[in-house]
Amino acid sequence: MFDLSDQTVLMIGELSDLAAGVAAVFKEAGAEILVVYNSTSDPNLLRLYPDGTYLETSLYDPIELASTLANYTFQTVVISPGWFQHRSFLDSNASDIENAYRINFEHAIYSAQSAAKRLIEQGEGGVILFLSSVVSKMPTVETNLVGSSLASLEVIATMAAVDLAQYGIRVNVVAAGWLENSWAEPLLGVEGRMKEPTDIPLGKVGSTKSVGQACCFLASPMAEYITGVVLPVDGGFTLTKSLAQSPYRGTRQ
Amino acid sequence: MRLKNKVALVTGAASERSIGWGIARELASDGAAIVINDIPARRNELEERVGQLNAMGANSVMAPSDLTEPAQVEQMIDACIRAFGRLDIVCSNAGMIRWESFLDIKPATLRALVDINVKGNMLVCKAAAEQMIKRGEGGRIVVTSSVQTYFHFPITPVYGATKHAMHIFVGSLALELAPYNITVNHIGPGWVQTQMNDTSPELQTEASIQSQKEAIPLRRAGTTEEMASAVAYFISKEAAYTTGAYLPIDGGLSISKYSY
Repeated sequence: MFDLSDQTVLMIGELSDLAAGVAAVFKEAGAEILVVYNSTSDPNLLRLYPDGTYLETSLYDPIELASTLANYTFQTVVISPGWFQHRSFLDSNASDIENAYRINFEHAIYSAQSAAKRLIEQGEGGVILFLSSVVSKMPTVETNLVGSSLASLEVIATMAAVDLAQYGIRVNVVAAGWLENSWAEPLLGVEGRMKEPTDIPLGKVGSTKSVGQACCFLASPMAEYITGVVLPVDGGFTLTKSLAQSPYRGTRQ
Repeated sequence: MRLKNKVALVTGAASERSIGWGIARELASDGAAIVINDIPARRNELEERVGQLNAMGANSVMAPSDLTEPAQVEQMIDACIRAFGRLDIVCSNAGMIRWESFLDIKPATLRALVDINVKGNMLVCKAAAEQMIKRGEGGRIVVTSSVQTYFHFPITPVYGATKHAMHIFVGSLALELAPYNITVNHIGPGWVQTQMNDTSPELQTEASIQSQKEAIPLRRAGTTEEMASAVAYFISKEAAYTTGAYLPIDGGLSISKYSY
């Protein structure tokens, strides 16, 4: 459906199986893949990614990041926050809060900022996409920090959409629901939990491919008038209430 | 008696187990003179309610009228002025629900829900606002919407749509009436054990009632008194700077997919 063969997509942030799945869909659509990942990421995740150019850098350092990006040209940027943790509010500590906000908020902002500056230098507009989760919209059990950090990020994304519109840069967010990926492992990996996801109106958990397809749409000319939106890809999960017990009953100690 | 010398109109207040009746009692207990409304077919119940309010020491009258008819809405507002000379507070609360899934929606249901939940609320707010503007002393309007303003349920699509419409309407009205010092807000009741909910297919067995309770973080239905408390806040002087706001009163029902 998408022909993005004229694009290079910069995937920037933490390595994750979600981001790898998204990169694979872009690759299928013909895009070149450039991955700039944080040096603290787990390098084993690289095997999940498609062929492309891979650069390790420090997302803590906007100057280093800018000098890295100065050598490359790209049209679409996918920001990949990578912090996800199931932990109850009562068990969350200062370190959890710092990690959530450093990775999902600060690093993501630096990444988007550096990439936006490079897009402006290139002078031909562009697209910035933030990968997020529907837990930013609907709190679920023990996602207080990931939800709030991504909610903060989504506000920045919409503000960035306003700021960057003058440069022809569109900024959008793709919010994933339950996926068959590592974030959902606590749900999917335990006997009896989410085996039959009847609480998802479309009747199945999503795939990283479904998120990637939404990203491709928003990166394509089909979405040329869409900016500042948060697009959920969740099979309708957040639409309504479930009478069932949460499949995730928590880790409170 | 914080509402002494204030006059309040509450629509949809005939049933003894209704949010409207809860609001009427709350406002009356705080000193307001009350005009209660419901459809003309419920005149007898309204008479009983007026008797109860007056027995509480309140000053109250009834104004039965069909809120889908503009002329009857005007007559209701006129009745407020005739009885008490002014109108300070309007609780536009009358509404109805039908449990029909999208594919089963009947044209008559669609028309009836839009007529009362949308058109009725709009006509009441309009006539009341005109009266408040004419008097020039500001006013308070509180609409009863629903937790379905933002949260959706499969067997009440039309009800949900009409309640979400109220969110947009209240916002617009709040903007337009702000220059006249009239605030407009709405409350979003979750599950309240009202007469309106008696026929809910989800509340017909003990087991299903238990399931509903467990889906609510606070593990119980709300009371009409608790809905009325939120209205009392919106009409208080403490809320004078709050307009266009939505307050869910649902025990946490709409926070998330699951309760813990």
